[in-house]
Amino acid sequence: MTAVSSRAAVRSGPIDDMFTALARRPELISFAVGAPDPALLPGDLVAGLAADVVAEYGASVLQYGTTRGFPPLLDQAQLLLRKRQITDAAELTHIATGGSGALHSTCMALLGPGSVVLVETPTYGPAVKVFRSHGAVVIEVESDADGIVPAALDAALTRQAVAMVYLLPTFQNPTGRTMSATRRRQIAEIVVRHRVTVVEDDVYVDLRYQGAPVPAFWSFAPANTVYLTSLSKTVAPALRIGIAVLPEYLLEPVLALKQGIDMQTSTFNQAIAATFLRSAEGAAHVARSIDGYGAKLATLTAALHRYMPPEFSWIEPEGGMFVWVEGPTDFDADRMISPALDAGIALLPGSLFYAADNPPRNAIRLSFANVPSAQIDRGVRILAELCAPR
Amino acid sequence: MSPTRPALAAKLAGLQSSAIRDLLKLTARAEIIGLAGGLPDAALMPRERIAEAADAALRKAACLQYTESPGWAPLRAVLAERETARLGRVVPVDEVFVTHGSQQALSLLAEVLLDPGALVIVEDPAYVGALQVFRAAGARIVAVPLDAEGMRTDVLADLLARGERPAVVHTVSNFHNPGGVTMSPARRAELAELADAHGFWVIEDDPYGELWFDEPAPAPVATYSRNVIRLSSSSKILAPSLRAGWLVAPNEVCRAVELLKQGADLCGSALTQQIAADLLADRDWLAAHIDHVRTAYGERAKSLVHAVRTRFGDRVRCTDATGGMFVWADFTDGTDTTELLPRALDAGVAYVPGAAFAVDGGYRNSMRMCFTTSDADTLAEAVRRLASAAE
Repeated sequence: MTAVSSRAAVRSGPIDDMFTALARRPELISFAVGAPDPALLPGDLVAGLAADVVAEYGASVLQYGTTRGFPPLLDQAQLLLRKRQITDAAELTHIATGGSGALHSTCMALLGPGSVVLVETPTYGPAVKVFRSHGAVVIEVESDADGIVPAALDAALTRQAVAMVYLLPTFQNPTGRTMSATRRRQIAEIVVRHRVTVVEDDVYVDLRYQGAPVPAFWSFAPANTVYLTSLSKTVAPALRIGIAVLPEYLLEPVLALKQGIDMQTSTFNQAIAATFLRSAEGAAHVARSIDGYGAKLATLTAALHRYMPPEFSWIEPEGGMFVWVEGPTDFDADRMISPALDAGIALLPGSLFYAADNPPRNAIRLSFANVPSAQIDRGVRILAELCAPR
Repeated sequence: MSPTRPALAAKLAGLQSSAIRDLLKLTARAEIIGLAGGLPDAALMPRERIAEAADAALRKAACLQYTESPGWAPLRAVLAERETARLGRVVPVDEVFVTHGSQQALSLLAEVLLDPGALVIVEDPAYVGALQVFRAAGARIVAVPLDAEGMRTDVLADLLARGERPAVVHTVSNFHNPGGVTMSPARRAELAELADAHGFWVIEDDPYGELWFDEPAPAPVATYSRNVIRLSSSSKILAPSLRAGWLVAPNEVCRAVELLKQGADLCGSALTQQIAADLLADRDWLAAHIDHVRTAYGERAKSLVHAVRTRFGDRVRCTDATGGMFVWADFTDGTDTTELLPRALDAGVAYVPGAAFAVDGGYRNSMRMCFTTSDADTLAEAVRRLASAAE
């Protein structure tokens, strides 16, 4: 038989089995899915916009566009970015196919076999897979409730040449933690001193339910930072709109790579996104989404307090889509996945969110965005029963 | 202080911006008649039908959500039916994978099928999008020439006899970009036979197959062998902005592509894929629409070919353009089309010099001209300007 390259060996496991079960059993209460609430997606609003964009922009929205992106969306992106203290970035911005498309083309530009990527711990598991698929060695750096620890990062950068430091500084997936402005400044000073590139993955930033906004890490080290964000969490994932702000030296190489990867992001989808962002109805929709997710988070944390055994702990995030629940050191979340399915809930074990070979197994990531509000309390009660010492 | 630049990955060392893209920037001025592009005619895109399909799609909440990496299920089902009809055998849904245009299909397949240093055979002149992808994958590229019947499969057979072992042979089997020619049925069968005998994959790129003018394209190479991965898209028959490409491949290839697609961009747009599914499933509407596009392009192709042959006589030999979007022309008198281009631009016409499509140099007397976005009078005027520049 004809060969398939070594990079593409196919594997399966209990997580795939869980997602298979999810597809077949719609009654399961799923804390595993990191997707927006379908009830909070702007179907009616976007339906109106689809005809509007064809009328307003004409056939150009149906044609091939530039690899860089659709100018009206690039303009709207600047307004979004400015709210995050990312200023004067118009010439550095391009539209990617989702946040994951942006990460992929950045990795293609920066990583080769043996490249070192430093990540916080825990971190976003699928990104670790992407780095490794580009041949990188992924190394965890000690982290605390404020994210990566400055002294540990400094030491890691001193020990070896590093291609990239990957950070999710705001409402981190999976822990929900946010790096303070002070910590961002400290980390920025270190990366500038070591002349290393940071990739800032910032897709949850607009989903803030409490507290004051923190400036993007980019604003502390603009020449060293690849800033990646998307409209998947606040508008709709199906538009596949990522927004990337790249250091000047990287922009043309990444655009040339993107041209080879998928030519350009759908102009039709970009036109819908631009029109959505420009509209008062779009802003009202985003505000309603934030209220909706904020209420779910409140319901979840109330239920955790009510039901979970005292040995379990969690940070209450100020935004985002996730709560990270840690059990005692002898708690094994991986072993719990199957019994949880039998009991009617779907969970992701925290072990999926580390780069280390033998990750801790005592945590669970709970994603609340996609769970109907009315099911959160019952889901947590089931979880608590499973976690109870016996 | 500014940072020292981190080294870019080694694979970027050979990366150049596309010569065609740079040329298009130069020729975007209104007074130039552009034959250099590769764009379908936006005026022929079904705007109202697309807006209508979008409105219907958005009544399903799932169309705004993430979808499965292999593609939106209703579109995969429609495509499986279409490919079953085209290939004359049952194509299971599992063997259909939707991509963000054909370009993404090519880039994912290159990762799945090619280890660094693997041999890829391409046609010469080559489809530039494929060259970009194979070079980025670190492949060794060897070219096989085209003639009026498509890929010279006899040359490929010679390479194989001399011990070359390609992992992949890439072909644009119908209305080749940029060559304009179509592989004959006999050569399709021979290519498939070689693939089976020598154990290589054929990537059959077929974006133009529906755009035949006088008679349908021959049966795909994929009808002759299961070692053929077929690529197509709705870019040329509906609208490029839907970014609905697809590949038809054996299950193990699709599963490998799926893994890589998850890392590349997670999934496609359920919205644009549902729009594509709606239009592709509407058989009566689709048949009438494609027929309209064929008729318009067919008239333009004939106008361009006629104008070239009338104006230049024996000095320029060009393809007949029996389908697709391009006429390939060769000066027989040694005229260098790269050197001619500045004078052509001054005269108010643009084309792509053949050298842009050469794998290892060559084609300096050739040019690619696209007829899709100009009417007959404009094409005649373009040729007149070209002739005055070439005097």
